[in-house]
Amino acid sequence: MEHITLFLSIILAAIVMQNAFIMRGLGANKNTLLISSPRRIFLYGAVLTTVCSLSALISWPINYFFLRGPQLEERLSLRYLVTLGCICLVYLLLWYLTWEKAPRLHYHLRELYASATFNCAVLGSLLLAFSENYNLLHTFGFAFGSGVGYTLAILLIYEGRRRIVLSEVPRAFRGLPIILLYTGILSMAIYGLIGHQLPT
Amino acid sequence: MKLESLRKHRRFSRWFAGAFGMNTVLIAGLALPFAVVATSSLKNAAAISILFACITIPTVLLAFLIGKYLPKLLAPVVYSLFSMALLLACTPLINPISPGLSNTLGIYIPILAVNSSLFVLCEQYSAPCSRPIFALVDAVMYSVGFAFAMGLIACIREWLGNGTLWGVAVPGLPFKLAGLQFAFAGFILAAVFSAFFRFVKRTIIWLYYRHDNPLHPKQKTAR
Repeated sequence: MEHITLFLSIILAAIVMQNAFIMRGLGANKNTLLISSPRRIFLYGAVLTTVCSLSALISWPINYFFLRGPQLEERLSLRYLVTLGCICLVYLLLWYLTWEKAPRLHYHLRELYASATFNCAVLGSLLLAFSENYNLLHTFGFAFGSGVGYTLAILLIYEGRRRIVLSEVPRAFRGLPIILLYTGILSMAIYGLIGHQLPT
Repeated sequence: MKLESLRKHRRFSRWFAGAFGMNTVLIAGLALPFAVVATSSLKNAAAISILFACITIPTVLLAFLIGKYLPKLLAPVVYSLFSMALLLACTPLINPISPGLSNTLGIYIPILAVNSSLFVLCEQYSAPCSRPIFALVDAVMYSVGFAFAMGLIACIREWLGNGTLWGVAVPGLPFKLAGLQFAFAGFILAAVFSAFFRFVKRTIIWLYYRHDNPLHPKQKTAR
């Protein structure tokens, strides 16, 4: 029971308190901020979450057995390279599997694979999980939670954007600037929600 | 309607597009995680900018040279692994700025290898019709533009948030806005500078246009 509670709390922390997008800006770029339909956001999020979770499962054993211990400083570069290598492997595997076994799914996802896989959020979340020295299950939970949190954050921004369109935004702020401003205010709200206090 | 002057301006500004007119961070909206989080101090911004230039220029040139021969599936794999290898080789370059800076920046160093700006440039210059000179010019100018945006945001955040610049205390500031050190301030400052840059860009284009097409006296009075 204790393990399940811890696992769920790690997932929840990755979704809300350590949200990759809102709290660390990971994976923030114009192309993802301005995705124009919820269906596309869900597809993008699904690919990102799958890649993140599978990469965690593959790269955790390598990191655990070969890349930890007293000489971590020297091995840190190797950890970065190995983690990225695992992400590349998952990308190629997913591409091949969907192309071979589910061509219709592959047709819908083929444009999203590269941008969802080679995203700062995927590599960043995995490296964060490894730096926390989680076990395999917890690393998987953190990676899964990060993917879900990222998807929810983009959905929240999409909803905000839909409402902002109806307002009279100054011309210079239309498009990317107003979305960044909205994300900033959202980030500030979540900082407050989780109990951070600004220094006085 | 005469547009010669505007076209001339566009041809001229093409050489500097990556730095100002199409600034990586403020106009194109790429590589935002670094502008949002890694700009808490000028030293961090300088370190990230140096590493960005070190990986962007060679990777874009590689994309230009071999991009057309690579299958679309493999291209991002090759570019990301190449840039990660370059990044790991270049990380010692930032140590003279401040010892322990690579620990302070943490995951923001390795994720440079998968930043969106790099892939956009690589995709652009792996097309067979791209011009070699512009691959180099754009890679350099995007790096300059990135450093400029990072420096601008970092200056404001460090000065107002910490009362220092490059770690040196700046006298004369009666208050500190410590909240500027948090990620949300990065988002808000990036938004404000982005809006300002868009405004300046639009104004310059409008001035060139108006120079060639002055308002008729009747239009002026109607205004």
